[in-house]
Amino acid sequence: MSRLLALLALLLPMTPALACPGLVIGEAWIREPPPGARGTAAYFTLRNEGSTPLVLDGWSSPAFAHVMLHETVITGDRAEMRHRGQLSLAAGGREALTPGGLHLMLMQATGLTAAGATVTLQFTCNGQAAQLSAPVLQEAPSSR
Amino acid sequence: MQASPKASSTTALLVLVGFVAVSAGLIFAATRGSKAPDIPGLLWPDPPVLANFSLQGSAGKPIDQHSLEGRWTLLFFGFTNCPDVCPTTLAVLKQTVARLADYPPFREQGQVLFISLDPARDTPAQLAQYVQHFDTRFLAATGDDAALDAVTVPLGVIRAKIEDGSGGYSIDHTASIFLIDPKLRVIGKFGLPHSAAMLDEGFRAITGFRGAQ
Repeated sequence: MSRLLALLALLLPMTPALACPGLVIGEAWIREPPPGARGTAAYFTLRNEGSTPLVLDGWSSPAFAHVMLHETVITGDRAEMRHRGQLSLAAGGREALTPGGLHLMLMQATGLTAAGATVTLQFTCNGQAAQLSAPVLQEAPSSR
Repeated sequence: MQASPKASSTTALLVLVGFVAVSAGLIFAATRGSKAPDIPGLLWPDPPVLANFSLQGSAGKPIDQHSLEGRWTLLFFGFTNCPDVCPTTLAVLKQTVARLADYPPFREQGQVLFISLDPARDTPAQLAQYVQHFDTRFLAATGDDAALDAVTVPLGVIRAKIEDGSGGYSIDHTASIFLIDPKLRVIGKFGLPHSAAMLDEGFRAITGFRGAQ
């Protein structure tokens, strides 16, 4: 089932974000939280195909109590997790949230987060409410 | 043209100097064990040796230096509340184990050990569930500060609790994967970013090199 979802995630990589003209979101997925883990992360790509800058902020989800934009920063062989504020995308700009780098930290699951589920992620785009959907997968789509 | 006596003696001197230099190099290499080959991640010569330690294991019994003797151990430090780099690395280790399934040194002597740096939140039972999500053969362990220091300090592993401002905390930590040989020598260290291909290649090269010793 998760393999099928991973395939679908790759076949339909680009979807416009609801209520955020110009923003195209692709390759969205959430790593299935292992048993005993209180959190996980969401990954996706962002592309601003519009002619005006976009500012994304205020991340939340009905499936997780605590959602924040974080970045894993590697200093030598040390991994540090740093909070990132709003995310700005210039016209034509791109950003990728990937394992080991920029990611959406999802903590304290309140809804269904097993592989096969689809989770809604909400945010503001230039102050307007927007959202995206991401499938929960056991492994990164690229590792299959 | 015939060489002058002066030129001949200079040549002889150069040959002698060269002979002494090569001999010294060979003696040096012999006393150091062997010349370090160009293998990414290899810690050679003089690899650090793991000190005695004792942690609470995920299988209900202690994990200590004896648990690693006679085995090739891929060792990674983290914590279960870590949302990104820890599950990403364990997923890479799962893929690495699959790649090494046909390689006798790993198939017969290999193991993966995850040590939690967050004993306040990670119990051994919880750790067992966590690592077995990736592979049922993975081991996990944790311990109090002193027990963790016994294994982290010799390896130079850093752990720093970072308050998140809302009553919780994260832990900045060393995210390299260490390779411990059957004699408890820290023979390899693989830095970020990790990939199964890199770990597979590094494991085969390092165990092959050690097998030739």
